[in-house]
Amino acid sequence: MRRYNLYKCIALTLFTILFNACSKDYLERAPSDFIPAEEVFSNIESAEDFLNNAYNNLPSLFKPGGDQNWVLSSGTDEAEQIWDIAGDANDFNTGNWNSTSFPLQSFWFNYYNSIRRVNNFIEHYDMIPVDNINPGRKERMLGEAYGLRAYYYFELMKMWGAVPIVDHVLEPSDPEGTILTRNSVDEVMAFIKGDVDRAVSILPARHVQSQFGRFTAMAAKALWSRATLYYASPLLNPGNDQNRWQAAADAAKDAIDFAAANNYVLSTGSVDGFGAYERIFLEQMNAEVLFTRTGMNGGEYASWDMVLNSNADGGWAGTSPIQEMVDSYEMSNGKMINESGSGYNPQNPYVDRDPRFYQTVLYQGAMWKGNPMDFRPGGADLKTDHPPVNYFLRKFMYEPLNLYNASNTLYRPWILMRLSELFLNYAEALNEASGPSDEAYEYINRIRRRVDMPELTAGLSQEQLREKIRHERRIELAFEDHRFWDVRRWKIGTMVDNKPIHYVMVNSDGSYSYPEREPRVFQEKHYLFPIPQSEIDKNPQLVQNPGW
Amino acid sequence: MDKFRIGQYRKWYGRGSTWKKLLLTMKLALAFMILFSLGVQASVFAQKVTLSKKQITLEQLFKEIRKQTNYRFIFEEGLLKGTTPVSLHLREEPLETALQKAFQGQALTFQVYDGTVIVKHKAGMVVPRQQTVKGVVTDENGQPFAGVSIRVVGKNVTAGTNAEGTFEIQAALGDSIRFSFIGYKTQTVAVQGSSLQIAMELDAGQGLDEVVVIGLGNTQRKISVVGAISTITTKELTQSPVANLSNALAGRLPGLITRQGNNAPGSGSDLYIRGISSMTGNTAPLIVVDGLPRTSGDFSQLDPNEIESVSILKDASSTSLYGIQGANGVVVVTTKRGIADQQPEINFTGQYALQQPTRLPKIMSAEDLALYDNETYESTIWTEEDLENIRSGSDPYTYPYVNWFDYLLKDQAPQQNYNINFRGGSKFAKYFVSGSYLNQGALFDHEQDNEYGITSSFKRYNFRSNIDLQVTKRLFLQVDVAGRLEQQKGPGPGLDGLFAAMNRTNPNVTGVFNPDGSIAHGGKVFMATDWHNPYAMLTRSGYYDNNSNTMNGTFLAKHQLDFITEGLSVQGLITFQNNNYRNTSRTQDYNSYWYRGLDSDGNPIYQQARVESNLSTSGDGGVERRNYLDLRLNYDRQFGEHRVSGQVLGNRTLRVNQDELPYAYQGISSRFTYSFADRYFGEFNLGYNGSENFPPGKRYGVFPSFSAGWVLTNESFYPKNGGLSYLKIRGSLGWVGNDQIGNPPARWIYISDYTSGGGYSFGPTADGNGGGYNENRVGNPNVTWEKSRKLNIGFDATFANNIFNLTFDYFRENRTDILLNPGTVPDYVGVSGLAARNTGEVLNHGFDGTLSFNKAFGDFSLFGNIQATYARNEIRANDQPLPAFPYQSLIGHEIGYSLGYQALGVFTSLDEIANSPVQSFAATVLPGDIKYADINGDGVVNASDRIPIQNQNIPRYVFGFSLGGSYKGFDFSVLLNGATGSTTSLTPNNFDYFLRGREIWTQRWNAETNNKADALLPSARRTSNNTQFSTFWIMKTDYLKLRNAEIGYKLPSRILLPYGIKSLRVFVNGQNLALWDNMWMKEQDPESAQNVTYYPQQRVINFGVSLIL
Repeated sequence: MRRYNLYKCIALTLFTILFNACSKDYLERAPSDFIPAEEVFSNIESAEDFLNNAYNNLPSLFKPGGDQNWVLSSGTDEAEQIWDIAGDANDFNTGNWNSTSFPLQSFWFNYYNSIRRVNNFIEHYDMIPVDNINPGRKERMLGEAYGLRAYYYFELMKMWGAVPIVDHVLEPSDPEGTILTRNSVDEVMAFIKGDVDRAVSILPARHVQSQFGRFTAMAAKALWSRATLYYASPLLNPGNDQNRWQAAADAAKDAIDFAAANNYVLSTGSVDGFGAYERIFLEQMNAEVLFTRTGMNGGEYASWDMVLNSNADGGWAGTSPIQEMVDSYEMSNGKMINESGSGYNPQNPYVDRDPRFYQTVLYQGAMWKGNPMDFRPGGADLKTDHPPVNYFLRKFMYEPLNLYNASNTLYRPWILMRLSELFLNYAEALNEASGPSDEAYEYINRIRRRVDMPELTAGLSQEQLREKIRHERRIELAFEDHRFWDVRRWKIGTMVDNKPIHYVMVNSDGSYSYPEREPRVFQEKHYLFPIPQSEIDKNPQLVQNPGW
Repeated sequence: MDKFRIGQYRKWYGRGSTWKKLLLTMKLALAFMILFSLGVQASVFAQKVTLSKKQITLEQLFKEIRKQTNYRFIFEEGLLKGTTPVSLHLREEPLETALQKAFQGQALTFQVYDGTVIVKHKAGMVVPRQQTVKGVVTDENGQPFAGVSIRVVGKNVTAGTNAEGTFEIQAALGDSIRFSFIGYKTQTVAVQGSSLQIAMELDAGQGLDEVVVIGLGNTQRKISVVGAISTITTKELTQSPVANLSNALAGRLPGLITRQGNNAPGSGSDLYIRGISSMTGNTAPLIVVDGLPRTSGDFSQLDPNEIESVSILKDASSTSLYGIQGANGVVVVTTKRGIADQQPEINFTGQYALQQPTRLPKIMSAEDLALYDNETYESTIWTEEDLENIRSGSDPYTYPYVNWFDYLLKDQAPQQNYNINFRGGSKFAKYFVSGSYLNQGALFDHEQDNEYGITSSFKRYNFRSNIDLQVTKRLFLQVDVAGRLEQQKGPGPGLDGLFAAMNRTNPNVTGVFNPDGSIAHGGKVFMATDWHNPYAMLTRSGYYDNNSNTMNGTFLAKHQLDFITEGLSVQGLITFQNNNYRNTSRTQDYNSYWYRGLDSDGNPIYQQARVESNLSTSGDGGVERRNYLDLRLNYDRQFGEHRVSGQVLGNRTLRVNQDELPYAYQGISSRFTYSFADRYFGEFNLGYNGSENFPPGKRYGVFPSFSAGWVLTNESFYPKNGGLSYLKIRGSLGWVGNDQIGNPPARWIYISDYTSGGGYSFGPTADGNGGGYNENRVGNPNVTWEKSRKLNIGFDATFANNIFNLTFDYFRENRTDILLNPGTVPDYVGVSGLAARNTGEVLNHGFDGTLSFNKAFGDFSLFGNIQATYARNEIRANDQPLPAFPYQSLIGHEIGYSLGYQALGVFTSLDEIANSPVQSFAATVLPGDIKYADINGDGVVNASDRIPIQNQNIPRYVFGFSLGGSYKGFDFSVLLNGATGSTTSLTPNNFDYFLRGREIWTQRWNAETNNKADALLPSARRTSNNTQFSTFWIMKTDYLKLRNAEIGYKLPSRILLPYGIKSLRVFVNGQNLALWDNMWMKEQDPESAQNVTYYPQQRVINFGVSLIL
């Protein structure tokens, strides 16, 4: 029986080996390539990389995080989104948006996602080692973090007004800590101010060329000018507190002086055949540009051209300026087209207009990529698969680019802030705070002189000057993501965006007619965006904006 | 016949080469087997024998002597039968003395020379006299049966029947003679005279002593099965002429729900056992082939001729052995093995099939399409003049009309399939060796124009060698090797890409060629630059060539431990699989031109649209490896009327997928059964296993199940002549798990981590100089597997003179801890990679059953079955806050519901629009637009008016009806298969891009001719009002299919036998032969209607011949 005992022993031994000796670590396979926070922040390179991604939610022509193929101008009286797809700009125009579903809804999360990132960075800041070769680098990153956080809180305030302030990293599994309420607009402004001041105190006025696009003290000051202007405007200042206008004027002046001291100057003169105005948007870093969204790859820049160009040029013809926008360009004599003596002829509408018109809009007969635009029946640029508007955007577009073979592409940053805006901010705030003044005229006229437009008529009333300043802002900053928000902060949406829009029809005989394209709807509640319903479902402590 | 007869052979306990090989194999085996052999001790004294044994058999004695002396023993097979064991006490005795002592009183004598001992009968002893037994064998129809294998049990005497069904064989009175033929029940008859009459019976495979394959390679007598298991065998599998095995299962297994979504060559069906019970985790069953967990692809690419059976394990008692992997049920595939004591049998099957699409999209006529375009874009794209040209067809270049389905597809595509296999065995070795080749062609025409000579196809080569070795009385080995090669080829954009383009490119968008023979790009209207000419996609865009090879092997050793206690054995199994693939894609762009008519001088104007590029190569490759190891102790014994069995098994699985870290499982399974008098059955199964995917300390789970059965009809009180001849009631309750959780399946989500990614380019160029780093995931330290509690109650009954069998099972499954993305964490927390939590709950319940019958009417026999499956689930918890409008909650609905609008038909007048709630999905609403219900009654139709609507394509009811029969040499069978309760959604995207221009649009709303609220389709105008997700676009996909039919004829064996052929059958069968459904858009197959752009489902007509030598 000795042999049988041996068998038994062997069998038992094997079972024992298999299930005792090895089982301890057979499943112990937690992968070593999982990187904890300590590893990221104990290296200045990866810490900087972590912060870099906080730039990715800065706005662009096409909105990051949203539908990539439409521009915000199409949601106001600047342009029309040709394709009618649920969730795009047309929803703003039909009034078909509500708290459950609205365009730009994802921005609520996107901005808070970037804010979490910045908070996370700040909380781990002490862990980051100093770069011995570039000792200022670590602190510069902190300045950027504050600047970006201020930027995102301003964007939140612009869309929603009062929002919850999250100033630290929230633990998602903590049900108590994640239930917040909306802070007041005053509190949000105070919070932005704190971050702006920290950014200004840390950051330089500009970076070396390879670091263009990073936050600067200049950007922080320009942001504060913009924030104070919004804070003083009727939407957020229903009591018309004059001190806020004065604060906005001071902030704008402070930023203008800072710009002058740091060689930010208006772009003048044409270069390489590009006019003084249009070249601002085609150069990598024009002298008047204060802050840009860089960081897009070349493909996405080509896609601007792809989506916005005419079918005949290989584009998708996605967005068209509308007749209302075209009509708002003054004649070159400084008169509006409907003013007496303007010289405007609706059957020859595109002569003698504000030079900026020619650098912004493609119209019947405009030369583009070697051919005149032709919107007549059978013309190459007439869009046939959707109701056309018969204008295309020229601003931001790069004429030499060939969409058929993707040659001559051009990398273009998206301009977030430029000097003209500060001038316009300053003039507007001054006029509101203390009425017409030479200073206000001067800053508007600087902008007009640059494009050879006549100066404003002297002796306007406060209301008349206000109209002129608002008009100048509309023309100068056309399609740059300002008008959509300006009509809201001025509370003029129910007037300008609540009526039918028009397009141009170029008839076979070369005559023009201006039919209605669609009615547009803008209701009182549309001034502020609704807080996403899903967010209120999760946290009933959040109070919805009025009307939604 | 003679060449197939194996001559009498002698049994060698010698230095035979076979023995040597076996030893070698054995040594290469498991370590413990080697240890076993090392444990055998013996002292060697040449020609002297030392031995002290009680009651040793002569056979054992010879072995012992052989060991000590190295002498070989030669004797006739069966000679030692009837000899009595002896007790010997020998001390250094000479060999001769030892043998004389041992042979005392036995009818044996011996001779020794040259190291060999020849043992034979002692002269004059009474030995049963050999005589010639003659007889005739008939088949089930009473016809002479040729080619039947005949063997005298226990002796090496074999014969076969001739063309007249007669045979002659040498046997003694009292010997047993065995008659066997594949597909027939083996019969054993005792010799009582010199003639025999045998009637062979078909093996219908319904016997209660039949062995059923259950989990982890175990088998069980059918009567003792208390779990819910369904099985089909090779016969049904080979009836379906499909390239992908999963497509052969529809309607054949109760409890199995199939859906054939993608139909490109080589692709198969989704399988669900009793529906689905999780909204995010993996819902596919675990697939196990010969013990090794595999991917569904490895299962579906097996050749059906290699397969013995496919079983599905449905309830907890049969799946709890798989513990953490068993919650979705298990598909167990068993391949064929050799047969002991059988002459080699060669099976050859050759098949040639024609495949054609069951349905293709129908396109409007050129004129209808033009009018439709004008309506769609609400502008005069096609003027009166254009329409005149379209009608006359005078300018096909400016006004093309190309139905791409007609132009690019052939009427049918061929499919060829060949298999040859060899099967047989001796007493100690059995083999099954098989090889097969499949070539499935694709439907494309004009492929000869492909510049690279590529013809789309799917080719597969399978081979397999399954060997069983009874090495010693106690040691059994099994060595299997199998593999397959696959090759898929096609045009550069891929088959689905091409079908998407054919769907999207309306006939009037572009012609094929320009007048100068160049590739056309646009007609009167330019075709967008990112669109393609489908012909050029097929012929000028390069090709892909995907190759994969899979190899697997199994080594199993089993050793009886009856020296410890009877019924005890130990078994070890190692199996592996390796899959390597390399996919290469070589694509290029081509020159195409927009023909813009003639200029003023009459010269054609061409504008280049696409520009030819060089062939660019891209590809990917990888490897997937799986190893499985298990070691088990088995105990199986009968004490009177009590049967007990037990098993303790430890196993490990390691799966390596590409460069991912390995997936590991480890666990112990136990199984205990008890039965009394074949009346009462009890079973306890236990899985204790874990996965590396969970946090330390939370990796292992216990998964027990309890089950019991009662065979009522075996009770003594049960009347023997009742209508019921058999009734078993059974039930089981148990717990299983699913660790393939989350969507997409995530690993190690208990860990919080960071990862590089993203980045931002600073400065004047887009050079990506700013790297990126992200918070990848905020971990969930409490993550665990999905848990499932399964209840099953069922019965099996046989009644009406054994003609009918009925099996029915009711099941109820509670799935908890379903891993869901947290829906209650506010967005302002700002986490993008929030780890999922175990918060979901689903209840799934239903039934499945089969009623089958089997009856012979003289020469005619008929069999059939009806089977049904019903599974319905309900979400009980889903980690979502209560919505502002409670009717928008998905709780209480089936998995697959999503929020959408309720359509009320289309508007027929402006008045109706003015008097209805405001719909502002688009700038204008016009008659002909879809009207939606204002659910909350606030006068506006908006996102708050969405309600849960059914959008799930897994059917709730599946049924199958099969009928078959045979008459003389003819046989036939049909299988009808149906499903109800699934829907498909023609999503807005499909509506916009792929479904436009189809003939069905002629039934659209029209102000003059079809101004009806219930128009089949809304007006053609392109408006976002009509592309909202709504009930309007939900289509029921209930169907009934003639899934399979077969007619075969077996040639009479008397014709074949002179050529050495045992059986020759010719057959014609078909798959997806007819289809009935209630879809309103009859352009897709109901099963793949979701994927409007995919390769179409195919009808297959197949001709085959099956030969047995």
